[in-house]
Amino acid sequence: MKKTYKIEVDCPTCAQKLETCANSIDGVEKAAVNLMTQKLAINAEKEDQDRIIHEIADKMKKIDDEVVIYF
Amino acid sequence: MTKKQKKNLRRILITAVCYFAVALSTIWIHWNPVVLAIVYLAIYLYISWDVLKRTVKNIQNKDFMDENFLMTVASLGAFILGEYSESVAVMLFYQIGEWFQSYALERSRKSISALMDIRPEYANLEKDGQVEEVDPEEVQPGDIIVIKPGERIPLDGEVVSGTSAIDTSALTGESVPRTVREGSEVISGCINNSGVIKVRVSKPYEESTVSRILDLVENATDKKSRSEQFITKFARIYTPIVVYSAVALALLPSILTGQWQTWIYRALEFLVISCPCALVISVPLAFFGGIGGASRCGILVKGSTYLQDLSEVKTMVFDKTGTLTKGTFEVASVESLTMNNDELLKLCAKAESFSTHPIALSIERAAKLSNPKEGVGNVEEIAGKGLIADVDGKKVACGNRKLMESLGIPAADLPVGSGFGTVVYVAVDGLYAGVIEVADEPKEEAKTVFELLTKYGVDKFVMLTGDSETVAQAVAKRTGITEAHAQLLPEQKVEELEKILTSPHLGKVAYIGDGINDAPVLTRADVGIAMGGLGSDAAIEAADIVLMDDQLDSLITAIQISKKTLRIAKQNIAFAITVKVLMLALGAFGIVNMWGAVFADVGVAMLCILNSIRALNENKFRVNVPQPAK
Repeated sequence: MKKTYKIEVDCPTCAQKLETCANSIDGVEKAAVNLMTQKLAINAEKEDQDRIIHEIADKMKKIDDEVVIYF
Repeated sequence: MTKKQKKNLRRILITAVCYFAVALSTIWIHWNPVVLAIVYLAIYLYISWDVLKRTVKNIQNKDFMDENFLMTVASLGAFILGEYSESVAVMLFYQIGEWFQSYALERSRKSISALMDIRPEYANLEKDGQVEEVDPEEVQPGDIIVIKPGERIPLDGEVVSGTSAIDTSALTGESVPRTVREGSEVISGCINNSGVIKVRVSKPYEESTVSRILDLVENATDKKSRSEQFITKFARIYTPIVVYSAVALALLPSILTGQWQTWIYRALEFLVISCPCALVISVPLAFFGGIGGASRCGILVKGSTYLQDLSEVKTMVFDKTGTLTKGTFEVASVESLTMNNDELLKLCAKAESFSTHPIALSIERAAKLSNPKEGVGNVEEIAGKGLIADVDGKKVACGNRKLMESLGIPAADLPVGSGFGTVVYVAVDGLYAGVIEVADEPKEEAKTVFELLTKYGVDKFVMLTGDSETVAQAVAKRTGITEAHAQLLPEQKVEELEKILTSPHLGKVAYIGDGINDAPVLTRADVGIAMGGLGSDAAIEAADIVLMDDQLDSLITAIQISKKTLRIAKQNIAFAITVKVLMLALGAFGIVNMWGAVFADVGVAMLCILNSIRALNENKFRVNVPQPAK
């Protein structure tokens, strides 16, 4: 199942970092960041989505705390 | 401007004022060197703390090869070499550049989003004679909503009262307004132009056209184009290469010449110049602009990769019914021997007035009789042949060749039709009177469109159809298609397409269908294009590109947009890399200083952003294919 989140990233490097981070989380089939529409799309099992987005948010705080994810 | 941008702008302005004040004062005042260093250090830390913080964080995460690292090393290095003023200037210009980039990005993002924003904000729900403004999501199918002139239609439905002209351009790109009256279907997302209409809602908001389209456009994220992937990969190897080159530049000549200061300074310059911002930002922006521009023309592209694929299409495979043809039966020609054509048509329409066969209905539509059943009697339907009826005292027989033969008219006397339609022969009182041909006519613009498409590099046109060989050949001839495969079942269409895909050809293969029965073929093709996508969920699901109207012209527009977008992306890549390499070379030999280097970087980024915005300008794409008079 694909779920989309609104995000706030304002540089391509940060977007790339978020994408790499999201893809590294267990259970993520594919994650994609669209800098232009400010969206993060995550393909994963439905029951995993909640855990995944929390893990991404936690991990991202350590990498770049200027990235905001709305969930 | 966002809050963050405002904050940064203030910081840049304060720094600039302080910096120039200090720099100018050194002309008149003789500063104590230690005091001067501390003053510069304070300004430096104020303007660069966020870059420094990010660098530290990145080093902790062992992923630090990005522009923050480059700028930190360059500016700190300059500071340590005693070039205080240079160090602050570099960071200041870098921040100005970043600010402009962020501002430009936000502006273009906003203007593109505004173009695509067809979201209705409210619906006027009629309840017990009262009209109330509600959220479109609260409206249920069966509810009545009122749409006033100038308002956006919030939900799909059927007009129950009122007439108006509807502007569908936001969805279809079609600029001529559509007239709607009682019984007409209206699509959400369009603008009501002239009159007040009441609409019975047919679908809940989340299933309505507007939310399906928004969903499609906003979630077109996961398919990134090869150009974008290239640039991401490029940036990943580029920064380390630059850092190692800088190290080499600092060490090797210094060891040889002993001029450590000069060569370390040049190496730092080298780092400043190399910042890859312009590259990384401009390519995705070009694609986003292209997708935005396309959606304004009623062309939905599900991901930037499809825009790139479309630009490389050399073979187009078409479905026949509804794609190359109009999809409805219409009287194509009337040829009378004994009376004028109109009379023959009317006579035949009367005879067929009790029939519900699609062919009979199309003849009736063409004859436009106000009272078709008047004076008609003794209708005798002969299965598989046609019918005979008394019309105004004459015995009228309408049907195929077999019917005429049974009336004693020799088959040799009968003309053959053009091939792609059904022929209805008419005999009056046992004598052959004329022929009416009913056909699913090919679209008039098809031939012109194909001719134009060849200019854009499409050199092979193929048709796949479930229809008979003769019909296929006739349509192919009329539209100028070179290869036609007939009598195919849906799964055979996939097989035929696979043959085309695997045959040695250059370029990508696009399949264009109307979405009915073609979902598997649409998915299999390199680029699946669905036409008239507003009607079919399956098509929107399966296709990569959806043309909202069913005009073949949109294909040209789509190809033009894709080519232009790719051209812009390539220009940006070439321009940015060339300038970078040039500046790097100049920097290595000490011809440009650090300021010049920062200016070059900001300048390239700006020009690439401006160039990308051109992809958005969709008005240039509107093509006028001459339409034959109807």
